Amino acid sequence: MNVVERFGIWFTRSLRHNFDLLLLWWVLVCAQVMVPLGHPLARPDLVPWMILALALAAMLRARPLGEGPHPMLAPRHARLARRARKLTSALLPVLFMLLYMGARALPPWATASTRGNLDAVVYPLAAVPPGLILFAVLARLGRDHRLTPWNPEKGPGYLLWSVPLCLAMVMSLAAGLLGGAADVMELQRPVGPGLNLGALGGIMLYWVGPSVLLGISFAAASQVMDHPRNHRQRKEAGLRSGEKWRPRLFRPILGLLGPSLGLWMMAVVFEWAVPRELVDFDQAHILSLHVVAWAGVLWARPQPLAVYCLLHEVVPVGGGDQAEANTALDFDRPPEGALRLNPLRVRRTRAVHAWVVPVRGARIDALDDPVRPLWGRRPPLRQVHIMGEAACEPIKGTHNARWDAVTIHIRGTHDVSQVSGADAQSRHIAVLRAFPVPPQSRRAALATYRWDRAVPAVSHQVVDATTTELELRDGAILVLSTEGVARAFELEIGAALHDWTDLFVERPPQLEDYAVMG
Amino acid sequence: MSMLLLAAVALASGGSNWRLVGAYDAAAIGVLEPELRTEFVWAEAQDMAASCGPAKAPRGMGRPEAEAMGQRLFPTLALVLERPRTTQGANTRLTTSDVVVGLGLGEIEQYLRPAVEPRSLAIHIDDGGLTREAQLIRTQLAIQLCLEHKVGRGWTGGPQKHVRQAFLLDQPDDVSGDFYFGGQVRPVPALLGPPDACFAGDEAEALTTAQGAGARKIDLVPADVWGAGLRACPRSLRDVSAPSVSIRRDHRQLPLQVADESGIPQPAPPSRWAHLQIDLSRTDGDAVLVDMALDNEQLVTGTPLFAEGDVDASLGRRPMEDLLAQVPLRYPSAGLVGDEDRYTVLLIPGWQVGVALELLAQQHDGTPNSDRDGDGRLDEEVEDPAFADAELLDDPVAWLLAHPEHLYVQAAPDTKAERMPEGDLAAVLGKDPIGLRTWGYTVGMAAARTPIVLPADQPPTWKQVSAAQRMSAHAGFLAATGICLAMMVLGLRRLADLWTRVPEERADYWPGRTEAETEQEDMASGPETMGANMSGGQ
Repeated sequence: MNVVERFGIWFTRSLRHNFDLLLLWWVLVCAQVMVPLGHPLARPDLVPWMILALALAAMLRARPLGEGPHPMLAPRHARLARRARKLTSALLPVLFMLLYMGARALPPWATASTRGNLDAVVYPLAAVPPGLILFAVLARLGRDHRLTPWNPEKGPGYLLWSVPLCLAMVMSLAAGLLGGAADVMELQRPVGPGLNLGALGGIMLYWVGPSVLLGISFAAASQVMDHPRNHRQRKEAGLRSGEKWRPRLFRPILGLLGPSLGLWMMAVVFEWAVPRELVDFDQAHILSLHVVAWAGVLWARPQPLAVYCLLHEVVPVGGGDQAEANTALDFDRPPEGALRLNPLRVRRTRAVHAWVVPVRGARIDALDDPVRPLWGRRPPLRQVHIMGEAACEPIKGTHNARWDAVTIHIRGTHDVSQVSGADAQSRHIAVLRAFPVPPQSRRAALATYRWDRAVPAVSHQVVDATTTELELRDGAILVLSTEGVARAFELEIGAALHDWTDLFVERPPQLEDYAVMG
Repeated sequence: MSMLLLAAVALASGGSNWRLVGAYDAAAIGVLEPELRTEFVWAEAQDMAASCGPAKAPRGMGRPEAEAMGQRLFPTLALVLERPRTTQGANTRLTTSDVVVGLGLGEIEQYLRPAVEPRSLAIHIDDGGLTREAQLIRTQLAIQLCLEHKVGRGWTGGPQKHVRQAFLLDQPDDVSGDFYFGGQVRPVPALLGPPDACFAGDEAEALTTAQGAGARKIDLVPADVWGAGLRACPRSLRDVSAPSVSIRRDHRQLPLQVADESGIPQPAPPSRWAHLQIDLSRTDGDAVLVDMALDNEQLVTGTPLFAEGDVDASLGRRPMEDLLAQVPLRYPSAGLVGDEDRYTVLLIPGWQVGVALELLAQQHDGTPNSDRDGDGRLDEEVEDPAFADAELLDDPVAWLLAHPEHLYVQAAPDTKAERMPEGDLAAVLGKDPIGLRTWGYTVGMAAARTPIVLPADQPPTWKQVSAAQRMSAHAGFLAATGICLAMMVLGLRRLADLWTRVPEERADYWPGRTEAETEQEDMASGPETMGANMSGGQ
């Protein structure tokens, strides 16, 4: 796999996994031109638009940057709590923005020469107390979201969230005051490229406030999705090695500094290096892309532990062979009609079999988690069936995890044919798929018989003595036949399973429970 | 990635110092908010009326063009130019010598003259002992400035025939059309307010012989021209080195309001008297040279007052240099608080566009277009490549906005050393090679949310801005483009499915219930047994 193919796979996968954020960005681009002049969203420092993009992205994707609860504990699932917690995550950046806007208008108001407006100070700050009350209500409603049962240390839990919250509010105020001071000092913003250090200083100071606010908002929107007891659980459990647990700080620091430094550098370099241009609301689509991209990085979709699959039993659709009475058919004409199964012309019977297939990645956090287990537990069953071991394996070449294809490693050729005494029983196993999925090759494979159609190799996988691996995708049809009698199963890949504990609730059904050959 | 996109956007929007950020019909946009009209009424400068006689108006309209544009009596093409932001604070006002607007097919063939600000000139003449020549200059300036006062149009010089038509002294050429104004082949800019002028010398220099010149008839008469005179300036204007003073605003100009964030109407920028200094000198060869400066900016240096060559038989002497034509007129500007001259507004009366289009149609077609259906609409099968449907238009501005490829706008760079116009700013109107404009991609989309400027007493509302800049079309275009792009990408990825062979598998027997059996069983067992036959599921 060359670099171009790897990039294509990575790009396609990224687009597919972040389609919601991509759609959000495009909606913001379309809505940008509709924002009236003078509307608060159209402020030239882009803060309201930035926070709007962040709040919407948080509604879609916000998740904690920490390590989460102990992996052996089952979290609660409550729809209302989840929505309330998402709203909390979206509301917090708005509160910070109000503080920022009020503080930013304060220095110009206090300095008579800059003709500051007192309303610009009072209105945003007056909206903060009701916002905090709403925040408290939503936080209370969302308290049970992914809450785990073990709370080992009954300490003052409110300190764990109230201190960072107050600190973030103070930082928002400070960022606003800094921006307001820059406005009062009327620092010159860009005059074109060159070593104009005075202009560079003005630009750098101007963009410190919005950048700091973005970093705080990202960190807060992530942290509000977490629970203080998650840290306590890990601290109490310790590590497998017997050492004390220490929190991993990389992702929280990345969430705090990554977006803010990115925005600051982008704005400063642009305004300083590009002549005759200032960043203002006309470039808001770039800022929203920046926010959405960081949301995709920090709030990446978690890799599932397994996926639920359904095997629908199907039969061919269509009439029987057209009878040509008293006429001998040519020997090279294949049979037609119901004897032939076309993947596009099948009908599901009402027999459905459930199947749980694990997802294997280069690393699975839950498996790599070094936290000490709370109790002994037998490992999950191997996902095997009559043909071999089934799993969603990483993409070859890029090693990115995927869960849109099931790979089966064939155990051996004895599964295909069986010889008992003087009788030989031949089995036939094939996987049909109507169309290859890009970037799978569509090059046709050689046909065995002249009446066989030359179809792409991945469209018709036949298990024989040399077959070691099968790949099943959504919609693939697995055909099992013995001595001319065949059954077919259509694979439907369903929802992903993210919680480690769900795998141990009970033994998941396996394919061999239903499809017993011979 | 964001930085790359930002840089790409910046580079795409750069290239020229000035940017065309708005093109719309000011009258059509104005009527969207009928209550936000201007109460502007043309009021002549009383001092000018005393010395030059009363102001007149074009036949058929009865009011100057500025008032007609303010009252939305005819379509008005408004072009908004945005200057580079890095020149904020510098004197970057555009004048008639900086801007070229025209129509044509591939190149400018007909010129348009946008409206300009009125000027108030305090004229200082240092005759250098050449009293006869100085008197000629005074007479010339008095006639020209009085004509500006009488018809509300700016003097830009030109051939006698065109000037006489432009200042309503002669009937225009026989150009078919149905316009209140115009017919002039070469239009002159309309003044947005009444001009004023005076001689800054002593009282003896003033030409105040025009007692009742022209009376109050609407038609111009010879007395309007030859009886013209200018008063002597007050003492405060007699020192050319003294800073210019604001003029009295009892004769205000057409207000222009920009849509800004505050929604508060911006006061009209202060207008000041300008000192026009004219110095005469004689060379050893007996030639009379003239130097002219406007507010210490040299406009003419060592130019012979009388053109070299033969004597003009009609004048009895050699033609005299047209000094006033070399004094540039300024285009109106508008802006936001702290950046008051960010936008330059070019207001072009619709009749100018109509006459220019008609001339172009005649030039490129040669025959009047009569192939119209009963409703007066254009028959699409007419063989006229460019201007077939431009004739007999009721609204030439709308036609031009629908065919912006024929519009050319050029603005000078901001450096005074390079005053030659360069670059076609109207390219953003849609001269795209792939025809995006046909699908609704117009100037509003290129300019995005740039505010517009309208002649009104109150700032334009967002409804007017969004209509002028085509915001809904812009958003719809972007949304449709995104959907089409996504569908195209997805479709291209699966395009090969159309010719890919589908695999088949054959067997002697496929056990399982037939469809008929399933339906029979469903009907027999009733709804309680409907559903999936799950075996072994959780």
